[in-house]
This record gives sequence, C-alpha cells and structure tokens, in this order.
Amino acid sequence: MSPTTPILQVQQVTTALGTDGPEILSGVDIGLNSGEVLGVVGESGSGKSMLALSIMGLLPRPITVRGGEILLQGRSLLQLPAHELRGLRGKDMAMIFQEPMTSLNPVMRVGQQISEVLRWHRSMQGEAARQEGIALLKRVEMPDPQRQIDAYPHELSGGMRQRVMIAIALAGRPKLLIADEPTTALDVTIQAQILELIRHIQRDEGMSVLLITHDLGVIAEMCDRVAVMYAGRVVEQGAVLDIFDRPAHPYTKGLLASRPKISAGANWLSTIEGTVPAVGQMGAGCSFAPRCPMAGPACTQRPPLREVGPAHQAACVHPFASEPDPKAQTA
Amino acid sequence: MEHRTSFLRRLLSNRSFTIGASLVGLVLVLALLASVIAPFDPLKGNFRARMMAPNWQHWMGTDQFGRDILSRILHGARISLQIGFMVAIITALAGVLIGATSGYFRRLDGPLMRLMDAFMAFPSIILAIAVSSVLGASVINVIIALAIAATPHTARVVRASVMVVREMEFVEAARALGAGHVRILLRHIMANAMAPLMVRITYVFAVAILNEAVLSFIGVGPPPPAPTFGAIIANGRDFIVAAPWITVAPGLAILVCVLGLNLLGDGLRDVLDPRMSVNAR
Amino acid sequence: MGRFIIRRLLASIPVLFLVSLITFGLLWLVPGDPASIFLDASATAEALDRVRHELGLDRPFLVRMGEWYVRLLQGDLGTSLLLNRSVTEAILERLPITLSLTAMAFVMSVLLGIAAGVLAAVRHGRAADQGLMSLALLGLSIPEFWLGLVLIWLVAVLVPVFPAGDYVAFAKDPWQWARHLALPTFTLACIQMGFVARMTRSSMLEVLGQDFVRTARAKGLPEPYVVLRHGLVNAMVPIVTVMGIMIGALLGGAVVTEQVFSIPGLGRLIIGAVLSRDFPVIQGGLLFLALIYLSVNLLVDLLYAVIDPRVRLG
Repeated sequence: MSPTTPILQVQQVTTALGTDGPEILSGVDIGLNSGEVLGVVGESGSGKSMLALSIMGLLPRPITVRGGEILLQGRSLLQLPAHELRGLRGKDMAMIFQEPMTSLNPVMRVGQQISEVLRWHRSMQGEAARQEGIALLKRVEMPDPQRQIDAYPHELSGGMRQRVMIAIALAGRPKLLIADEPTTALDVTIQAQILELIRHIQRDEGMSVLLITHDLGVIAEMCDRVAVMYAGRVVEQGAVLDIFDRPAHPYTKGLLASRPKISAGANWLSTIEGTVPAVGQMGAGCSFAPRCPMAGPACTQRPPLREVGPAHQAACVHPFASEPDPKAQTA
Repeated sequence: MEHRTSFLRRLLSNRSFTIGASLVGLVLVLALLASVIAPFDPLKGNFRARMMAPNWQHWMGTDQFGRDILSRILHGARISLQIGFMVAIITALAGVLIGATSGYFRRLDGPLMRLMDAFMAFPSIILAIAVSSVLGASVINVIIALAIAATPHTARVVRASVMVVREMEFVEAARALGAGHVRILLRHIMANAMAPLMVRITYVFAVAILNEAVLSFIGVGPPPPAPTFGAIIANGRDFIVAAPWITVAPGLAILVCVLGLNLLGDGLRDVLDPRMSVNAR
Repeated sequence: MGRFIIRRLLASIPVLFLVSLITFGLLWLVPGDPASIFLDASATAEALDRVRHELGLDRPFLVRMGEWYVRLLQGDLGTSLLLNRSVTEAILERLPITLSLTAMAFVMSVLLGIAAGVLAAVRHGRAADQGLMSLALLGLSIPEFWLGLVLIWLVAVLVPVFPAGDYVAFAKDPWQWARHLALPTFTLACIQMGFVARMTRSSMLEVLGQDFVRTARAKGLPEPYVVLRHGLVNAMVPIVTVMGIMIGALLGGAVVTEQVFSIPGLGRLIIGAVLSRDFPVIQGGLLFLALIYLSVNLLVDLLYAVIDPRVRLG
C-alpha cells in the first residue's frame, strides 16, 4: 500500500451516552495513512481515549457511536455485525492500554495470555504457540524470555508488563496499532525505552500506529502527523513539523506555549485560562471560544475543519491569528 | 445537617429499602396490636370449629383443636419479633464489645479471634439448638442461644471496620493530641463502624426469626402453649394433607417477615456502602 | 506450597482446643442436675447415681476435664445415655448419610447458584437479571423446614413424584437412593443457592468492569470465553472464600432437613439427643460437626491458594 492510502478513516463520528444523552465525541474527523504514526493529543476529557474505544468497538455499555463512519482499509466498521468486528479485533487492529498493571489478567500466566491470540487468530497450538510467544517476547526486548513466558503479571515490573501488552498486540500481526497513553503510567526512563521499542517495531513492520497521548514531547519524538483534540472535537490536524512550527488553532498555540522552556528563565509559566467544559456542557459555537483570547462574534457558529495549509487543517475562523482580531467586538 | 437529610432521602429513594421497610412496618404494627386485633383467643380451642378451611369467620382456618390460625399467627409474630429484636440488640452490644476490643488492641486480637473462630466452627443453628436445650426451654434462653450463635460473625464485622479506621491518620492525630484509648474508640472509630454494623444487625434480626422458628419446630423453643410460628407448623405437620393451611399460613408469615428484613438490609447496604452491595450497578 | 499447608495446620490447633473446651463446657452450663434432667423426677436414687457417674459429675472438675481429654484423644466420646452404646460408633454409623446429603446440596447450590449469578451479571439490568435476583432473595428468606414440608405435601403426597422421606443406601439401590435424596437436597440447597447467586453476580459485575477484561475483548476473543475464562475465574476468588462458611450452614441445615424428611443421619441423632437430654451424644455430635467444618475450611484455604497464585507468596 502506498504511503498516501488511508488505512483508517474516521468521518464525522459522534459518540454519546445512550440515545439522547450528552455527546462525548462530536463530529470527529481523523485520517491515518498506511505506515504512518498519527498522534492524537489533548488534555484529559478531550475524548481521545473514547475515540480509540469507538474505533475498536469497545465502548462501555451506555456509550455508543451515534453517527458518522469509521473505515478500516475501506471497510465500514460501524456497519459490521458484532462477530465480524470481533474477528478484526486483535488481528487487523490491536490496542494497548495505559495501565499495564491492571490490563493483564492477574491469575493467568503471561505466556497463556499471548497464546490466546495465537490460538484464536493464527490457529497455533501447543508447543508452536509457546515458541512463537517466546519469539514475540524477544521481539519486545523482554529479558530472559524463556523464563518470563511462564511468569505471572505481578512478578513483572511495569515496563515488562507493557512489553507483554505490546507482544500480545503484535501476536495477531495487526495492520493498525492503537496505543492509548502507553507510557503515561511508567517511569521516565522506561518511557523512553518503550517508545523506542514501538518506533522500531513500527518501522520494521510498516505498521500504522494511532498514538494517543497528552505529552507533546512524545508527539514530537514519535509521530509523523498529529491531530489535536479539544472537548470531543478535532481542532487541528497536520504534519508534526508544520503544527509545531506554525500552529493554526489558538488552542494548539496555547498548548505549545505552555511547555516550560529552560531558555525562558524564571518567569510565569504560560497557561490557558479556564478549564475544559464537562460532557454535555458545551455551547453551540466553537468549543474553545470561552477560553480563547481571540474569540469574536464569528465564533458563535461551530467552525468546520478546513484546509489552512498543505495537508494541514484547523477548525477556526481566524487561523494563525497572533493577536486579538481588531475587527472583533468583545463579547 | 445537610449531610443527614440527603442520607435519609437516598434511603427513601432506594426501592429495596422502601419495600422492605413497608413490609417490616406492616408486620410490626400487626404484631404489636396482636392482642387487640386478633379475632379470637389464640390459646382457646373451639370444638365445633375444628379443622376448618379458611373462611369468612376464620381467615386462615382452624387447627385440630379449633384454635384460630390467624390469631395464633398474629401472636406468634409478636413473639418472633420480640425475640428477634432482643437477639439483635444483644448481638450488637456483644459484637461491638468483642470486635472493637479485638480490632483496636492488637494484643487481645489473637486470642479473641481464636475464640470467635472456635464458636463459628459450630453451625449456628446447631449451636443454638444445643445451648437452648442445655439451658432449658424459655424465651430468655432462646434469646441467649441465638445471640451466642450470631455474635462471632458480628464481632468480626465490627473488628474489620475498626481495623480499617485505626490505621487512618486522623486517629494518629487524635492520639497525638492526648486523647485516651476509650475516647478515640468511641468518638472516632465507632462512628465509622456503624454502617456495616447496622447492615449486619438487620440480617441478624432476619436470621434470628428463621432460627427461632427452627428451634420451636424441633421443640426446644419457647415452651408450649406459646403460639410460635415453629410450634404452629410442627403442629400442622401431622395434618398436612387434611389441613394444609395450618402449615402453609405460618410459613408464609415467616417468609414475609424475613423477606422484609432482607430487603431492608439490602437497601441499607446500597445506601451506606455501595461497595458491599449485592445490587452493585 | 508445602510450607503454606504446615503453617495453616498449625494455626488450627488453638481453635481445635477451644472447640473441645466449649463442647466440654456445655455440660457445665446445665442449670441444675443433668442426671435428673435426663431421667426425670420418678427415677430411683440408684439410677441417678449411675447417670451421674457416667457423666463424671461425681468427680472434681479438673479430673473430669482430664478424663474427657484422655478419652477424646483416643477417639472415645463416651457412651450414649439413651442408647447405651458408644457415641463415636453411633456417630460414625450415620455420618456418611449426612455427609452425602450435605455434599450433594453443596454441589447443587454451587452449580445452580454460580450459573444464575453469571447469567444475571451478563444480562445486567434486564429482565433475566431482576427475575433471577428476586428468586435468589426469595430462596434465602424461606424457612428451610417449612419448604421441606410444603414440598413433601405437593410433590410427594398430592402428586407422588418423589418419596416422602426415609433413606435408601446407595449400595442397595442407586436409583432409589437418588430419588429419596432429591427433595431433601433441593430443600437444603435452596438458601445457599440464593447466597451464591447474589455473591456471584456482584463479584462478576465487578470483575467484568476491570481493565484486563477489556484487554481480553480487545484481543477479539469470543464473549462467552471472556466471561468464563477471564471473568468467572477471577470472580470465583471471593466465592471460594465463603465456601467454608457455606458448608457450615449446610451442615446445620442438614440436621433440620433430616428431621423433616426422616433421614437417619447424624442430624436426627443429635436432635433425638437434644430432645431426650442425652448429653454425651449432644457433645459428641457437636464436636464432630465442628471437626468437619474445620477440615473443610482447611481444604478451602488450600483451594484458594491453588486458584490465586498471589496467595502462595503471602
């Protein structure tokens, strides 16, 4: 597949609580090209984890996808019957989660948890499955894989458990890997190792990765493109270099500006005023308007995601604005 | 103040609690007014009205002596509730005494818990039967026997809460301020242990009613001619084919009492400590 | 694992001692003279003396206690005042019957209770869930002995599907043995089934909401497999914890059920002894029941260690 063929297309997806409850994701548009690493960045409450769960079809019961379309290699995931969607999980698309401590079955050996995938998706049994499991552990740079394959999760450190999770995800040979904050719960030194591991594997396999994080540093290191989410909506999307260099949306600008810089000396840290609105408390207009220093009368309508540069979109009526719009009246 | 009203409101909006409380309330009223509303004397037989199926005069029929079953059940309810209530109170006191001491004073914990374990090694009904038979048949002895059977588990529940709270920092703070042991126990720790205790006591009450019926059925309960549920059922056993109502009616009465108490306990548990709840959402 | 077993065994010794002490002390609780309580007012002085001697009441307290323990360690629980035979013998004769009734009821409550709990948890909030839980609540509010009587009336007398009572040894006729034990087993299992169903449901609901279940689903594993292999196995842990208590309750219930269904087991022996104030049998029976309960709890603790590997290290 050529690098510009999208492997995953999320189109105007709206995810909400039940049939008439508040929206958690609102008209989200995301595109992931084959062999690419797309980062999804946002604060807690931006809906990024929900996006991942929506794609995988793992939303907890009262929450459902109410509208939009999700295409994996051109196939509509939302219209598949449940058992067919299940067949794709673990095989075509796999996911790793944030908390390696609680994401593994505590009373099952690590090797068995990997073999499940091998048995179910690759019809491997017994000794063959075990050897493949060891090979997978070696692949994820697990020390002493021959022994650790029989270990229980509580016998392993956080970093090792996350490696196991990656091994489990790789076992089905997925084309799409969704990583939901894979390093947030780990020590800083281990974080770097795990990220490096993911990057290696991604390059070797040519896998497409959807990397969810709140850490801009991770985005800068790992991703080719990035989507910025705020309050359940995508506010900006584009190549990492583009966005870091010339952020279009005021929120993105605020995020980038709030990173502490050593060169800045002792100064007030730059912040974005206000807090993220709770689910169901958003107004009809631009979701960021209440906190935006450049909000104006045009912002009472929800801005669509538009091209503001080559392969660079932003949902703002005055992108790249660097000071309060002189034409706008204060609300 | 605000905290307390919201608790009451939560309690009243819990379906389990309201149904249970209504049932128990109904039974309570009927039992307390037994002497007043019972249409007949529960102990007096009417030779001409023997073995009558339920009819307009005798809503639950009569037994082989012509005694009105409904009146007997009403009085039986009063006895059962009295016994159940006393057992609940005594068990609560004993359980708190033993459990709090055990949970708070580490050195006494070991031996006290071994003692509780030993008592719990006997199936509680059997323990109650044995103690009741050894002490002799009377209402007081039944209460003692049932309380002995129910205390160990209650003590464990109290102990568990005490141990959890003991480790909390505000206790350390109180101690640093010079509060004595008893004061700490009473004011700080017990307040937190109240919730699980209240839930547990509701079930103790329910089980006491069940067990008292068993004791009476076997013959080691309150002595005749007390019209206890168990005694009525035991009496009706021989005539179950000819006069099934003698057996069925008191059993349903027990069922209603116990069901009500169980629902009440469930409701309390939902509201006081959702983690313990069997109705977890 | 071996060390765990030994540690556990040693821990039960003080409890065993206290149990025997309580059983021994029961006689001491009797208000008045046990001998005249057993015999009744019209007994001769000679008969009273004989019974007193039998019960050891004519010797000082410590001597009595010493004798009791010496005999206990030899397995001698004294002589039944009523039947005039060894208590140990009488108990051992009837023990298998009671144990088989209890075991069958245990299996029934566990199987049906867990099935109901899992089903209710999977159909959480819907009709099946509410229906099953209402049944469970009903089951554990019903007086056992009454249920037995009603069942006998309905299913053994009115519509004679099952026999009304009595017992047939397995060795003699397996089919009749099963027929005779069907109603008592169900009656006995009823209350525990209710408990197990509720506990299983709440445990399952908690486990199914955990992260590792989400991981299992993310692997694309079939839902029934996830519910059972990942869900139930982990949910079993608190259930196994109460299995010991369940057996204790079942033993107690068995005693009453035997009375209702006229089954000649340990329970009927004890009840008979209770009604006739045959103290040695009461004491012996109590001791035996406690012993069974403690052994079962030991096995349960071992089972716990097998299921949850984290316990073995602790």
